[in-house]
Amino acid sequence: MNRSDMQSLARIVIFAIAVYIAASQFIVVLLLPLTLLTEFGLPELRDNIPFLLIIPVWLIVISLLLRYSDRIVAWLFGPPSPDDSSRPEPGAACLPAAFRIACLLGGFAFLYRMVNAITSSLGYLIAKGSRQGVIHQWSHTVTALVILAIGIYLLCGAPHFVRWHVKKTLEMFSEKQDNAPTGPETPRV
Amino acid sequence: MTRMQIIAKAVLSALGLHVALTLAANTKNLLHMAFYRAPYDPPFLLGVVCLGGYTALIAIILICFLFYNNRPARWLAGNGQILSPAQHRRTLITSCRLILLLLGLFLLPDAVKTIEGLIFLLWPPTIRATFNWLLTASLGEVAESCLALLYSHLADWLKAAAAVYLILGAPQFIRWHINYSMRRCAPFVREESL
Repeated sequence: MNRSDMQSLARIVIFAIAVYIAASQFIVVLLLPLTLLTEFGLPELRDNIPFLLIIPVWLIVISLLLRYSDRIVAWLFGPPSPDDSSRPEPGAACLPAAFRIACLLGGFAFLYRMVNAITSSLGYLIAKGSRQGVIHQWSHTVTALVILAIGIYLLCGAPHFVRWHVKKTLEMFSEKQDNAPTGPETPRV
Repeated sequence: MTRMQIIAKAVLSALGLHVALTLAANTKNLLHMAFYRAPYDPPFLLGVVCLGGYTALIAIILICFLFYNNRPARWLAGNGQILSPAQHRRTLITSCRLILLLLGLFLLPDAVKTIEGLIFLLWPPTIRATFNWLLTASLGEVAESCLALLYSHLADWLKAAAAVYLILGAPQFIRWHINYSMRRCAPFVREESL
């Protein structure tokens, strides 16, 4: 089936999200019954069977997401236009922008963790007490500050880091290949 | 292969790595639950079956997502304009570096805490206290403490090391991946060019 680049990209992202959810659900599927069995015994496992039924529901949602991903992307981006397939390859000029976007996305992940780190740090600051508590408080504050600093740097576009990555990528482009490429120009028989 | 198929390949590899790392990090919990003498001791066979299933799943995910990802990539991305081998290589390098960097950045917040813990372990007063304890403790106690430390922190240390390596661009992994992909993609390129 012919798809535009945007549709293919959307399908890949939908697939990645589905696999991510499936993997996290699998951990629950495996660990939760075992936890209930070892910590509380068989009656507790029997009592929690309705709760475990949420897992098949998730699996059905994931399979539907994969099955109808074509329809979802067609609804999101419309039918592919004939110009899409003849678009030229993005050159090295796009690299800084691509790395910058990756850094921004990473920055958002840091932002999400920053909230957790700051709240737990504040919790330790409020609950002053033993020496162990002071060490924990110090440790949580340092973690929150480090995550905050890296997060802000990434959200600002991480210019030095992006430049370094672009330089390394261009160096990798010019590296000699170990295995000669095979394709329409150099067929390997 | 087409540009989108190559991007799909890179995404599949990163997903495989992420899922395998997450599952491997949870092995500690599984071991604890399956074999530790909890209030309701589980049957030994159940522990072995769960651990075997878990290991097999990690192996299957790595094989399907990292080694044999050409067909899923073609299914995901569909058809399009086939790239020349040079373009193929450049696109694969760029997409792998970008997606692995993103994966590293997603793993980094957890790694910050682990690295901080490691720095605390290597702090001079902590090292001094450890040496003092080593002089007085018996061999059994030392071995037990080392095993406990490894058991509780090994998965976190591995995840932190993986995060730092991915953020630095994972050059060896990408080189290996490119060589492997170029070798494995050759039949597809020939097939599509006919």
